[in-house]
Amino acid sequence: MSSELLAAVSEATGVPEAMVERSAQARAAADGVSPEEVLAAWSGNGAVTPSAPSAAVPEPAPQPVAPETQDETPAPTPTPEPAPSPEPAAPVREPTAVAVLTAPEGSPVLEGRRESGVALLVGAFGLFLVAVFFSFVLPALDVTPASPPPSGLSELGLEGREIYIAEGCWYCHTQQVRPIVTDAKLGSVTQPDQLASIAPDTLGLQRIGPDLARSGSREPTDDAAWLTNFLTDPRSVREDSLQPAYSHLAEADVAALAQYLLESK
Amino acid sequence: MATTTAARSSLVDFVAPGDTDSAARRHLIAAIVFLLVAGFFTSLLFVKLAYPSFLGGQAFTTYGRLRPIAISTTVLGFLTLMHLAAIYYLVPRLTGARLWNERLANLGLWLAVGVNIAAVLALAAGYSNGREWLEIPWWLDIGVIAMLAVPTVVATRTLRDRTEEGLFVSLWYFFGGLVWVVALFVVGSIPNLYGAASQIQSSFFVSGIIELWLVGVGVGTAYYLVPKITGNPLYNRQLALVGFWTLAFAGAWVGQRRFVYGPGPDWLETTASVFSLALVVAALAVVTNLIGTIRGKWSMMRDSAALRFTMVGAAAYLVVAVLRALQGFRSVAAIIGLTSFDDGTLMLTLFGLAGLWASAFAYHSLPRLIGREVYSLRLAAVHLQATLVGAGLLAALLWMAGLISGYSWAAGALTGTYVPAGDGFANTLDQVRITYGLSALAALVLFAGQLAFAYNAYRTFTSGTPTAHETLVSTNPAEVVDE
Repeated sequence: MSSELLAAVSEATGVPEAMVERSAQARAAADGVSPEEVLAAWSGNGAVTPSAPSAAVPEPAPQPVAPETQDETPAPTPTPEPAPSPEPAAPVREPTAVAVLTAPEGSPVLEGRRESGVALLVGAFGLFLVAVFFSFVLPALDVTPASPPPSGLSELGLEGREIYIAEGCWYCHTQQVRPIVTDAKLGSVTQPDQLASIAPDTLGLQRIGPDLARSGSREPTDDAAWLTNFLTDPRSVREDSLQPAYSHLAEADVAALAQYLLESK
Repeated sequence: MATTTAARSSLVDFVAPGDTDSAARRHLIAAIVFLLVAGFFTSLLFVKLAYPSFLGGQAFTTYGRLRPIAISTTVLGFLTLMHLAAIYYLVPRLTGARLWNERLANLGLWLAVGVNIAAVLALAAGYSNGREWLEIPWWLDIGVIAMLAVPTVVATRTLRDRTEEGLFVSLWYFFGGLVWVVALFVVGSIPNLYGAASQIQSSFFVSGIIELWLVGVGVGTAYYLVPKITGNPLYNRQLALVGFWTLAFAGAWVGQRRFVYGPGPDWLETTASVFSLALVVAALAVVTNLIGTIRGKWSMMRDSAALRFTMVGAAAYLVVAVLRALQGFRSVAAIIGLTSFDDGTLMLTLFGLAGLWASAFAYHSLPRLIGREVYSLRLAAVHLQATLVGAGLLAALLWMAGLISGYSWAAGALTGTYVPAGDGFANTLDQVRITYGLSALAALVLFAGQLAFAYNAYRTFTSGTPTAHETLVSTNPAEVVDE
């Protein structure tokens, strides 16, 4: 490798000759050309290839760190000492450092084009705001009744609703009747303007257990004693029920929960 | 005086070290710990689903309390922390700038761990406010927003210092994800919505977190790992653009596909279904691009655990995208709506898709972050197989349970022989009981794989072969030592 060229590139880029030499060899091997050609290209004014050593870019930032995209040194380990300890002993010295690949797999081409980070952030956030408006704000306003109906729950029933929510009953029980054949016998279809203004909803996610929207108006859940018994010890009522036992709840809490279900009509 | 200062600075260095990659390393470790917690609670959740009297009657082991704990430790613990590790690891490498304020990033981890632990304790104690994936008390909502705002600020400031003109594809997903996840938690935390509006808020929030954060950042990681490991350049940049902006455009519109025929507006269910189809396009773009990138190097999957995890995760991505799109069709929703079907897809998304990509990142970065080779590639293979069998079976069983339930409810109504309530419901339940029982088994297999992963990571720390995959050396000519 021509030492004059090396010196010239080193001079021009401010990178030590040893590193320039290694980089040139790596680039030459990758491109299938001779190291001299690479060096010639690097030393030529303005003829710096996109894959020239990063330091060839004239001092862009206060702390230039060569990104992987331009890393060209899959050369023998250039660290002063190998790093056997969990904390790499390689000198990470201020003010500048560069990640040097010694990975056998070599450097991939992880290239982007010249792009604006601001445009990315604004674009992503702007599209999100559109989605917030059209698939949250607008439909939420659409379904919120001007004058929501009273909940129809007694004080004890409201207390039971709190327990229903806190204990996560709504993960396995829905309270929504849909206008499809499956739900035909479950009572009248749930309309948004019938839902009372108590946050949050108890519409539920899925039916591991049965729907409870109108549980107070059908057997066997229209019976307070049955409910209390079932909630405390479900498997005494149905041998292989999947209902968790709420024996850990205070008696008053179970009564409130039962009252809530009775009042759900 | 001098010793006091030294002691103080060493304490600061312990709590919030400023050295390169320390934030990525610490987030990675925390994520693996939370994976164990999440795996434990998830398998316990499915055992309790099938056998509700298992472990007796402690309050916190009821399904209703375990479910938010399992979801929270998986989503906010394992996946979010691993995604943050990926962001802290890759943003400096792809922008060519030092991470802005490594110490702040490390402080953010303490906050994140604190919020996660507080969330588990609050949920176990029964403080649930009844909003899906945001059951935690309102003051913890603020903690979550803060713990996500830290990486957003750190990464954005790092982006400002970049020396690299281009933004590699991964960065789009990372920065999009960071902005979206903070905004999603803000929107999701708006209090006092009721009725159908409250359901719309929840479905918007949950699907947004899944598509834009859990899957989105995972896609960013996959886009880095495949070119990096194979040495092949990205197959097609235009395709990547299509995939990203389709996700950005459609990702937050799809929540209501879970509640087709529900009390929400019909038009919202329609837009959600249509935009779900757009997300299939986004998934196809990503998977096509990954397959195009790996071309000619498929055999590298034999030796690279990270590559294997990435490509299997890509396959899961396609399955999930197609199923979620199907879910929105009214004819399909009439059967599988409000059944376990959606939970099946959710489990595959959390552990088979986002989980595999998060683990792929761990296998790739662990040697580079701690300077030791992964302890055992065989254990990594066990991890992958157990995850495939566990998550795949779990999902398949829940899909089956959903189909069986849906058809048997409809059959009762059509024939008029039983009603899906009371004894009639118990009757339909008999047919899915076995699938719930087997799903507990599948969840345990999944957990076994996670244990293998955690053990492998632990042994990597203690007895992995030292290596110098990627070390940091100075570019300052004065400091370069002659060879």
